[in-house]
Amino acid sequence: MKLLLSLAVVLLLGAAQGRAQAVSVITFDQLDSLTQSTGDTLVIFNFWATWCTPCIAEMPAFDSLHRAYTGRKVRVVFVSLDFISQLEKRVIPFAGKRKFAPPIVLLNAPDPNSWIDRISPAWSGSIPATLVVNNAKNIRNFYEREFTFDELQSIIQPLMEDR
Amino acid sequence: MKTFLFALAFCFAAFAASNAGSGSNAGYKVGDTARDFKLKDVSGNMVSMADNRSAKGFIVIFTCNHCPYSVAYEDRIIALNKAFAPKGYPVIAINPNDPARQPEDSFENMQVRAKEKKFAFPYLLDETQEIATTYGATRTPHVFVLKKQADGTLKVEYIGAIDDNTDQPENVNEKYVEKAVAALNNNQQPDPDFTKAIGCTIKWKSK
Repeated sequence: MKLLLSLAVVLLLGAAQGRAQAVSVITFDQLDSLTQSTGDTLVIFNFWATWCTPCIAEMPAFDSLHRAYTGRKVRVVFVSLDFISQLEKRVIPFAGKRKFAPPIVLLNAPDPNSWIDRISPAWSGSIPATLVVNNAKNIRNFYEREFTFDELQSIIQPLMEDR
Repeated sequence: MKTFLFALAFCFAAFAASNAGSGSNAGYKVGDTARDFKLKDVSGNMVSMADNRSAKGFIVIFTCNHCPYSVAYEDRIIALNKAFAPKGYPVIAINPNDPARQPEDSFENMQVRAKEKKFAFPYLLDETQEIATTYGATRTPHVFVLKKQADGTLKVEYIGAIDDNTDQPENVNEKYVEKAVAALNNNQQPDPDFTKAIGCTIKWKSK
């Protein structure tokens, strides 16, 4: 629980930008808790992996969005679906090289059939995939597709309006 | 009046066509009848399921060269064919990816990989992506277990993952495809008959 709280602080309040990128390894239950504890912040969980070409291609758009909305209750979290065995070899070096502003976590949950539906029943299991959540506003939207910066902005903007 | 009726009929036809379109986009569900295909194998021959008259069914696997999930399952796919082809359920591997978007998945590279790994089953290229679209495959690997019916049609009996641990074969708890085929050979329904897995998105041709 303590780990989860400190994770939530890092993920939702944000690590100091520009600091060396660390990658936290989390279980599905921890990820699930994070998606339930966004408060009134719009948190964009982007599912990716170092081996997924279209994922890598769209990550800069999510990074730009995260930076563009600094201070406006919008945050991005990159959720890596790389195998845990690739953490040291691929994920950490990738994170270090790309220096994205959003935090990166590696989801260590080997049995996807047990949790894919808990992210969204609409998810077939291919990536990239993106979950947009704001618990306070009862928003939980799922997208199994690729995004450009403009496309991301067009789905975020309507969710930012008071309702 | 005649023109009006014609226009009306045209509208209905267009409506029916658009409905049929959206229906087929959803792909197969368990219980549906699967269509056969005629696709080019790495050997250069055209392969259809109808060619194999003695099979009781097929383990159709959408897979490819480049995807680490497919690579992680290669040896298990080979083992599935080895175990179940003699029991009436051979593997048919189909690469649905557009080589223009993923050059590693070109026909030539498929030939290289099939030879390296000594594939004893067909490895077919779905060049138009029509089969992947019709079946509703979204990722690689994505498995469809089909059972031949008395009338020769092929019924979809299982859709999903090969097992529940891609990265660590030694830690697999549930061998979904193995269980499904074993159930079919015992005249039982697979349980589960549908699972989800993480996989590489199929690289669709740009429209």
